[in-house]
Formats: sequence, C-alpha cells, structure tokens
Amino acid sequence: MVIADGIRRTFGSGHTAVHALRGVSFTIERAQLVALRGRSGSGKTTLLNIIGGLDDPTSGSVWVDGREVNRMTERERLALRRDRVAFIFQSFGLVPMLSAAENVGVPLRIAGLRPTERRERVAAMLALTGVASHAAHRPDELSGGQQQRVAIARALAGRPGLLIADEPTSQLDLETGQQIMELLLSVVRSEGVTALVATHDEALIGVADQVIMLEDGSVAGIQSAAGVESAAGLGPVGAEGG
Amino acid sequence: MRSVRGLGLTFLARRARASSLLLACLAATVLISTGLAAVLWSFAVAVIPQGAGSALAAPQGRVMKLTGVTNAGEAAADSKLIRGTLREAWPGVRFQMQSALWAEPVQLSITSSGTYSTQIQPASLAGLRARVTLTAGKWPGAPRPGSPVPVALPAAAASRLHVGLGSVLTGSPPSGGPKVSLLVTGLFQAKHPAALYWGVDLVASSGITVQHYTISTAGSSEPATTVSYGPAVLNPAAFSGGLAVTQASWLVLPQANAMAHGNVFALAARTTQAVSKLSVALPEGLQVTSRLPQLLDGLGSTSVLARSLFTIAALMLLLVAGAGLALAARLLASLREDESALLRARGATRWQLARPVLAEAVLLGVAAGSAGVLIGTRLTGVLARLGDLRVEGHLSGSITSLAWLSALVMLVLCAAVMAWPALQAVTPGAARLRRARQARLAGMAWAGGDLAVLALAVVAVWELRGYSAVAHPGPGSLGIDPVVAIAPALALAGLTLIPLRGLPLLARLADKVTDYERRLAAAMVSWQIARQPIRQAGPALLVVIATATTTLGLAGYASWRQSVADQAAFTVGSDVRVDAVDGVPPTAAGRITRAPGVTAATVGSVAGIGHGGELIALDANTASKAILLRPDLSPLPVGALWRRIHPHPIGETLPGAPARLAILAAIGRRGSSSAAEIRRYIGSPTATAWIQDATGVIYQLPAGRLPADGQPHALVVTLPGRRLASYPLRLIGLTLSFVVPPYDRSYEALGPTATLTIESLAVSRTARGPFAAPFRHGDALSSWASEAYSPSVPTGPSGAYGQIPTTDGVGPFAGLVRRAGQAARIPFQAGHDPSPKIQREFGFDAAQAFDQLMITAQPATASVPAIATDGFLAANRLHLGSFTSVSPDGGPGITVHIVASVRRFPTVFGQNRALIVDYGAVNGLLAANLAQPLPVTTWWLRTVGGRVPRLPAGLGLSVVTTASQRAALLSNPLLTAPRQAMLAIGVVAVLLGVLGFSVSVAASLRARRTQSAVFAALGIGKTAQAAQLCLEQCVLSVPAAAAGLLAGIGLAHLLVPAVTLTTDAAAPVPWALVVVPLGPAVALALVTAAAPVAAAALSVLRRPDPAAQLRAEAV
Ligand SMILES: Nc1ncnc2c1ncn2[C@@H]1O[C@H](COP(=O)(O)OP(=O)(O)O)[C@@H](O)[C@H]1O
Ligand SMILES: [Mg+2]
Repeated sequence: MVIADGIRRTFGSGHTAVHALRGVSFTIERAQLVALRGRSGSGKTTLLNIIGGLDDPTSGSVWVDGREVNRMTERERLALRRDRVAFIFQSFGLVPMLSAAENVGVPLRIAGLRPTERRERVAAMLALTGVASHAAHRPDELSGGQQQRVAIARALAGRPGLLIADEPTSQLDLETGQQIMELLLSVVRSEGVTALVATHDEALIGVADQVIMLEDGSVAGIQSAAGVESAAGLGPVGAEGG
Repeated sequence: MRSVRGLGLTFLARRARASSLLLACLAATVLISTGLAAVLWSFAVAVIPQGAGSALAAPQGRVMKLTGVTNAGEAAADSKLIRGTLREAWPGVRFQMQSALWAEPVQLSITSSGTYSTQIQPASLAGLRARVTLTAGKWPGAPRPGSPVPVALPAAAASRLHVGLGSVLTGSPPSGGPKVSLLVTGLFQAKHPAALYWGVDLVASSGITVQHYTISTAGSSEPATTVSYGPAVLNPAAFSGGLAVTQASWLVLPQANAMAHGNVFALAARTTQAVSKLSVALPEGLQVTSRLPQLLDGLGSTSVLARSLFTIAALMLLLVAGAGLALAARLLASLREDESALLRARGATRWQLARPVLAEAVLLGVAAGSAGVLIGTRLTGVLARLGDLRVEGHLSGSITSLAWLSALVMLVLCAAVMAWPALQAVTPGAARLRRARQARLAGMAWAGGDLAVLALAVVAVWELRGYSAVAHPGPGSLGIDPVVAIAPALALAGLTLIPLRGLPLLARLADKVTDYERRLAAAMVSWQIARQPIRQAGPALLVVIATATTTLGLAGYASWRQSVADQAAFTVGSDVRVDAVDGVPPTAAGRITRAPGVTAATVGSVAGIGHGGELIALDANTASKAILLRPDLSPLPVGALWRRIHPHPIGETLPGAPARLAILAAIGRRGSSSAAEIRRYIGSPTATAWIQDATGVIYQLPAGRLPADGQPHALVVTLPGRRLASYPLRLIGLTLSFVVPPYDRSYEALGPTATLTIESLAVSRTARGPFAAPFRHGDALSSWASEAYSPSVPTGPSGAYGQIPTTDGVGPFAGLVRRAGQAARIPFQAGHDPSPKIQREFGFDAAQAFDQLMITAQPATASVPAIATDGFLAANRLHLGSFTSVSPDGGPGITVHIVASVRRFPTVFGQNRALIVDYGAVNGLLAANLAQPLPVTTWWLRTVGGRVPRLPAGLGLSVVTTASQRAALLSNPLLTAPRQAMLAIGVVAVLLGVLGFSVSVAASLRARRTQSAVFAALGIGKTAQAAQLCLEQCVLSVPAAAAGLLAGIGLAHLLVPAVTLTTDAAAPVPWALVVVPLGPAVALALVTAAAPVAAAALSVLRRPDPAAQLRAEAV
C-alpha cells in the first residue's frame, strides 16, 4: 500500500539547513495499522506530509497504491487526497464556521455526492464516532475529544484507502486520548482502511501491526506484530531506545 | 496584574507591528479624507469671493442711480443722507458718488396744440469738467443780476438748436413762472459718452432726449413729443441767483472687491434695506434705480448653494471615510479578540483595554490628520494653478480653520470606531462563541441605531422630493441650505442600511439552501454569508456607500455640464445664431447660409406679436438639422414636430436649376376700350416676378416691361442663381405696375378696360441665349388670385382717407383669373386720376400715382400651421387645433392654426410665449394677401466645430455661439467648483472603497489560512480555492456595488434638480436633466467591488504552502 524508499527532506540550505529526514524507507501492507513513533522533532510530521503529497521529498520516492506520489502532478496529488488518502490532524483541522455534520459533509461535497446520500453517510459516520447527538454543534461548542471524533468521522466519510493521523491525541487529556485511540482502532478495523498514525500512545503501539520508530530523521527500527525486526539494511542503524 | 498595568509603549509597538496592515489602512483613510477635505475647504473659501467678484465685476451691475425732487438746501442734506445710509449698509466698502443739481427746464418753443415742444435743461454737474472737452468758448462764470445766465451746451445739442457761442436762449418753465435767458458761453463734448459717469445725467449723453407721450383731454388723446436739450451746464453760483434747484441726481458706484469679500447675503439684505430707506427719505421720495439688490440677492443664494454643495461633498466624504474606518477598526478588533479576551481574563478592566487603543487612535489620527491637512493645503496651491480650477489670487495659501475642523472630526471618528470594540470586549469563552454565532448577534447589534437613521433618511428623501434651492434662499446662521446639505448624506446612510437589515434574512435563506447544495464552492459561499453576516456586511456597506457616492458625484457633475450645454444651446438655438435686427436683402441671406464652415442652416424671421410673445418663422425643412431642440421639450418626436408645420409649396415650380425665367404674356384691349386707348393709357407696365426659394425667402425680381399692344411678349426674369438662393425656385406672383391713366371725363366711374393674358412659362439654364420649350401653359395659373389697387389714388367716400371729401378718381379693379384655351386671362380696368380740381386740393402728383395689378398663387388654406409654446397657449387660453390671428411686428394679420405644442422653445425666455411657423408658409400667405414678406432676420447655423463661420461684412450682423455661452457658464467658479468637488469626492470614494475592501479581503485571507491548508489536505487545489474566494467576496460585493449604483442614481435624481441653478440662483431654462454616465459609473463600481477580490485571488495563487501552514497551526 505504502512504500517509502530513501526519503530525504532538507529544509533550507547551507548553515541553517535542517535535515528533517535522512533516508527513510519502509513498507506498509494494505489494511495494516502502523504506528509512527519518535520524539518531537524526529520528523514524523514531515514524513506524513510527504506521504500524503502535501510536501515533496528532497530525494527518494514514495509509492501509494503502487503510484509514485513524488512524480505526480499537482492535479494528481489533489485527486489522491480527495479519493485515497485522508488526514487527521493534531489540532483537529475542522472548519470553525461549520457544524459537525457540515464538516463531515465537506469531503462528500467535494466528491459530489447527492444530498440525500451525503446526509445518510454523514449520519452514519457521526454515529460511528459517537457524536451523533452533536451533529448541529460548531467546533467551538465541542470538547477537544468530540472535535477529534468529528475529524475522524470526516476523514473516514470519503472511504479513503489510507488514513494518515498526526498525533491525534496530543492535544487531549490522557483519558480522552485513550478513548480516541480506541475509537480510531475500532473504526480502522471496521472500515478496513490502512492507517499510519504518528503517536506515543502505548495502547495503540501495542495493537499496531507495525511500529516504525523515527529518530532524528532516520528509521531507528521497525517492529512488526511478530517482534522487532532488524533495522539493518533498511537504513543506518541508530541507537535503539525501546 | 503587573503585566496588565504595564500595557506600555513596548506593548503598543509590538501590537502595532502585528496589525500594521490594518493600522496603515486606518491611517491612509484618515490622511486621504482630511487631505481632500482640506482641498475642498480651501476651494470653498476661495471660490465664493472669486465668483462674487466676477459677478460684480461689471460696473453696470453695481451702479446705483438716485433722483429726487428737491431744493438747494435739501439737496445737500440728501447727499449726506445717501452717503451715510450707504456707508452703514456697506461697512468697509468704499464707493464713489457723483451728484448733479437740476433747475426746472426752460421751454424754448411749443406748438399751438401743445403736442410738440422743445426745452433746455439747465444743471450743475459735479465733476463734469474732467469728463468732457471744451470744444469752444469757456466755462460759464457766475451770473450777473439782470443779465442772461451763462451756460455751456453739449456741442450736439447746440448744433441741433442752431445756436453758437454768444447765442441767448429765452423761455419760461413749463409750469409757468418768469422768463429765463441763457447765454451760451461754451460748447463741450463728452470724452467717453458710454462712461458710467453719465448715469448722473438726466438728459441722454448725446445731449438730446426725445420723449413721446400722449396728452389726454376729455374724451380724446393725442400723441405728443418733447425734445429736451442739455444739460446746459451752469456755474453752481447760478442757483443762488435767479435759478432754483428743483431736482437732484446722484450716481453711486461701490467697490467690487470689498463687496465680494464680505458676507454677500448680509450685504444684499442691507442694500435692499438702504434702498427702501432712501426711497422714502424725501417728502416726495427718492427714485432709486439699481440692479445691485437683485444681483447681490442672486449672488447670496448662489453662494449659499455653493457652500451647501461643498458641505454635501464633505458629508459624503465623511460617510465614506466613516464606513472605511469602521470596517478597518472592526477587523482590527477581531484580530485582537483573543488577546483582549486573555487580558480580560487576567482582570483588565474595559477602560484598561480601551486606553491603549485610544492612545493608538489618537496618535494615528493626529499624525495622519495633520499630514492630510498640510498635504491637502499644499495640493490646493498646485491644483489652483491648473486650467479648469484656476482661482489664483484668491487662495491665501494658509490653512483654513475648516480644514483643521475636518481633521478633528476625523480624529474623533477614528478614536470612536477604534475604541468602541475595546469597550465592549468580552471574555475568552464569549469571544469564541461570538465568532461562531455572529448571525445571532447581528440582529441585536443593529436593532436601534439603524432604524433611527432609516427614519431620518426617509425624512430626508421626502424633503428632497421636488425641492428646489431657489425657493429656499434662507441664509440661516450657517450660510448653507440645511436640507440640501444634509439630506443626501442622511438619505444615503439610510439607503445603505436597508440591505444591511436584509442581510440576516438573506443569511437564513442561504443557510437553508446549502443543505440542498451538492458542490462545495457554492455551499461555502452560502455558509460565508449565513454564518458571518456582520463580517461580510462591513465591506458590503463600504462598497455600497463608496459606489453611491461615486455615482452621485459623477451624475452631479455630468448633469451640471449637460445643463450648461442645454442652457447654452437653448439661448442660441443652434451652434451659431446670426441676427440682423432690421433684416438683410434676400440675396444676402444666401451668403450667410452658404458661408464656409456652415454644415446646416435654417433661415427665419423673428417678430414680436404683442403681449411679450414672438413669432419665430423658420424653414421647417432644415430645422431638424439646424435647430437644437432638446427632445424632452417636445411631446412629439422632434422630426414629427417639424413635419407638422412643413409647408405645402405654392406656385409654379421652375424645373431644373434655371438661370432665367420667361413669362410669355400680353395685354390686349377689352370691352369698349380700343387698342389705341389701351396703348396710350396703360403704356408698358413694369413687371415684377415674385420668386420663392426652397427656404421660403421671397425675391421680388424685375421682369422687364410688357407693352400693352395686344402682342405676346416674353417677360424675362434673371434668377438669383444657386449661389444665393436655394433651389428649386417657384413663381408665386407677378406684379404689373403702371402710371394711373389720366382723368378722362368720358370714363366716369371706370377706367380703360384691358385683358392680361399669360400664355406660357419657360426657363433657360443659361444667362443668355434661347429658352427651352415652355414647361407650363398659362392655364396652370388659372387657380391664382388677382388683385388690382393703387396706393395713391383717393377712391371716393369709403376710402381709407376718412376725412377726405369725395373724389372723382377711380381705382383699378381686376376680374377673376380665367382659363382661355391653354392660357390664363385676367380682365382688368385701369382706373384713372381724379380731376385736376381735386388733384390740386389734395396736392395729388399724377406722375407718382401707380396702379398695381397682381396675380398671386394661393395656398390651400388661409392659415399657416404653427407650433405654440405652452406659455403661449396658457396666456391666450388656446389649445391644440385652435386658430388665432397674429400681426408680426404690428404688420398685416395672419391666421395661424396651432397643430403642435412644445413646453419650451430655444431662444424663448420670459413668459415662454411664442409661435413657431414655417417661414416659407408665412411668406406665401403674406404674398397671397399682397403683403410684404417677413424680412430674414435670423440664421441658425450648425458649423464645423461649432465655430463662427466667415460672414459677409457690412450687414450689421450680430453673432452668438453656443460654445461661448457654455464657456461663460463653465468659467463661473461659483457654479463649477462645487460640482468639481463632488466629482473629486466621487473619485476619492473609489479610492477609499478599494482601500478598505482590499484590507478586508486581505484580513479574510489571513483568517482563512488554516482553513485553506485543511482544504488543501482534503484535496482542493489552490485554483479552486482562489475561485471560491472570488465567488464568496463577489457574491456580496457585486450586489453591494449594484445597490450603491442604484442608490447613487436615486440620490442624483433627488438632488440634481434641486441644486442645478443659474448664477442668479434661478431655475435654469430649460430645466436640468439628470444625466448618469453609466459607463464610467459602472466601471468605477466594478473597480471598487471586484478589483480587490481579483488581487486577493492572485495572491492566493502565488504562495500556498499547506504543510507549513498546518505546522504553524499545530504549534
Ligand atoms: N518548514 C520547515 N522549515 C524548517 N524546518 C522545518 C520545517 N518543517 C519541519 N522542520 C524541522 O524538521 C524537523 C522535523 O520536524 P517534524 O517533522 O515536525 O517533527 P515531529 O513531527 O516529529 O515533531 C524539526 O527539526 C523541524 O524543526
Ligand atoms: Mg509533528
């Protein structure tokens, strides 16, 4: 489903150059739930953006669904995000002007669904994420957890193949964070999507099919459900902390 | 707490840096507005004295003449009184005063019936000697008792009286009294007879005045004439001798400059007061003649209007600036909302929050305001040197207090709109809610104030409807017309609130719609309106106000220029009008219509028809091309109007373009007269052909002589040719003139009888050589009428000479025109002279007594179709279809049939009474009635570039042009400058509108950066987002611009008729039309509404970086 091959990303140049990613490679199978671990600043967000086509790698390539994202035209990337890839952001990324239901409806409108179909799908997604009773509320009137539920509903509404979530619980308290992670886990399983989640959440890491550990822009290790896989051959081996 | 108290300079500076764009916008708005206000007021202050100065420049307008019946003692006191009264009425205005003392006239002669008298007018005129040259003799000395009084006479009067130096003129006053003798010691001549000084002279400056009047005695009245000569200038000492002062005259001329700089309105009031005070000053009163009170009154009204128009402009500017400031201030407040909420949460009071904002506002307002005033005043100096705005010499260069006042107003406004949101600052939670739930707040926020403004606006519109500043010259203490000045701004404020009120409604509707909307872009537009009506309303309001102001400014200016053009065209009637008061010979008429540079011409004749009415006879065939008749003045389309009075040509049309006409005619014997008698008594009559050309001009052309020998002879007429006359020509009459046959007892009641036969008509294209075959047989003339008369033969008891005894002379007589084969035959008898005895009694000169035999073509109807002005119809209680008879210039009467009416007709002022007829038709009718045609007195010419063509000299022509009339009106700064001010406000409104709207779009761009990144993540590209932004902004701004356009047009319709007045503050003729230059107005509206959006869209396209934005948001 996703293949990353030697991704490098350097911001700026010369003295001030920041090497956010220094040759990252891995593979994610279809319908897998993959956790991305790493300290703050290790390059998680940069990696996710590159996979979603929001950013370009300085070198290396990314394949999503067998197509090379970094070779796509802008138009094709937009189509990719519309149809195949959905994002969940740390800060929820809801449109403040719109109600929960309307926010969930946005990707469906982009897809041009008929209003009745759209309404059904929105209702189903809100029910799935447990915020059906708050359908008419605006983001400002919702708690953080509720907002993230809505964000999850929106991400899944368009039936994406790949769900990219960037620290979805980092702005939530521990308990809410856990609930959200549980929700994410259950919907990912029930909807059968591939998910790449940057997180520190141990519960999720525990159940993930694969855990990719980033350290200072490099893959420090990849742990599949079967156990720790050697990082050798996949990139420079860094100090393994786990 | 410490941090709250420490909202100091660093905090201000840091905060200002974060919102520099909005602060710059606020500052720019203040700067531009105060700058323009400074320009405006500098002009307003300078233009009024300048306009007044130019209106008062001509001394004829300022001069005041006073005369009164008085005696020597009183006259001196009167002088003092006049001086004192006027000094009081015109404080600070210096004036010249001339005076003269008059004795009773000395009657030199009078006819026994008293109908003709001559008199001489002795007088002493102060300051006379400097204005005349002594042509002979010396100035009179003091009289010696018992000898004639020495006088100096105007040379012209002396020569008419046939007197010279040393002559003694003796007579007595008309009222009786002792005889007076005057000794002529000197003769003089005025240096400048037209000089104003001669206003003090009661006799015309030529030295001779002829007065016609009627003497009415029981039952009868007789015309009488008095010829006065004078003044016979006396030595003032003469008044203490034999002559008594009976009359005094004064002439006062105030200084124009001082008057122009004073308060014209007060001056007008005081002048009127002074005049009425003086007119009752003497036992028998002073007669004051002056146009000054009216002139000052008109000037006062005009300056009030000008000031009002400047005030309108200023208030509109304030409105636009206010909307711009409010918008920017609101955006600023929402940008700082979170920060304010945080400070509130930390315990800051409202005042603590408002204080830094106020400090910011005052700093900004003072700096930008002062800069505006200084720059504006500087700019005025530059502008005042530019062509159209020239007010040099009147600009002091110093800053007017009104400019500072404007700056202060802007400062207060700026502080108020900036501090207002701070004073209302809310808690952080509420701030979040507020952003989310703007729609609900909308209704409440606007509830009270807008309804009040709306009510005021309704009152304002009501007041302006049908309002005319003419009717309200009230000076007020402000020197402005409050209705005119305030109503437009109020009306506009109200009008713009209507859509604002409607916005929440629209929002609810939009919200409903989104649910059924499939596409995101359209849904987003609806959401924007539905969820953020207040945010959207700000820029919409600004666009409405700015566009309306621009439209009003454009319309006001265009309407004014149109009105000036209309007034000029109405005054002249065409590009150029040429007048010859006494007419010109027919052949000269063509030289004017064909002058080089003339593209279309209409000839005509203007004649008085009594009661202030006039008859305008013009060539209806060419009128539609040459006469500038504004279409709305005629209920009929102009082309149809002229067709109504198109003439039906009469007479025989000469084919082609002939150079000569030959009329084959014969005079033969008839009845008892023998051929020899006819030859002897009638001889060879002189023939005259009446030829009318296509424009209606009638030429009376010699056609040679027709011997009465029974044989046909060709009467050859040389035609005027194409260069002088407009072909085709028509023969409309033929006159034979011959000496009245001598008295012959054998004829008694009849003269010799004969027959005139017209055989045929033929033309030739050449000036010599043979004629072509006849184009018409004589029988074609059988429908013509015949008439014979002799103007000089007294014809018995019922003749015109009522008091003359019965004579034995006989006038001529013509029988009906008959067809005889292919010829026309007119039997006539020639009449004869009276007997020698009667001839002697009358002093009848047989050699000068002529008979006229005429045949003339007859029009189908005995009336001419006419167009009447509404004023003529009303004054004469006539209507369409009426017949009425008029006598042009007191000549023979003609019947006109009113077939159309016009509200107004060019050149007709006063009571708007005129009849317009076809010149050819009137002339034809006059000719058919044997009357002389109307002389050509007027030419209406369309010319290349509206310039005066080269006209033939020596014809006594006077010329007026539309271009010069228009230039004269436009050069009056009092009328033009306020309109230019409105235009300037209109242009600046666009600027302020674009500025405010751009900043608002920029702010919304900033506000939606995150949304934009989220959308990018959702797969919406930058182009789609830019398009969506455009659509969102345009959905409100374009209707707002349209609403503004409509509001501006509506306001223009209310305001323009009320404020378009002439220099004398009278309603213009014709009335002003509202002209909205739609092209420029729409273009400027689009610039205001769409340009900022387009620019914003481009900026979106240039730099989207969703990844970076998302990162910034996540922090
Ligand atoms: N747009 C950017 N410009 C400069 N440096 C950046 C940019 N984006 C990320 N970085 C840097 O790249 C590194 C990786 O950042 P990021 O991917 O956000 O890490 P993480 O998401 O794991 O916290 C950081 O050191 C960060 O400062
Ligand atoms: Mg991150």
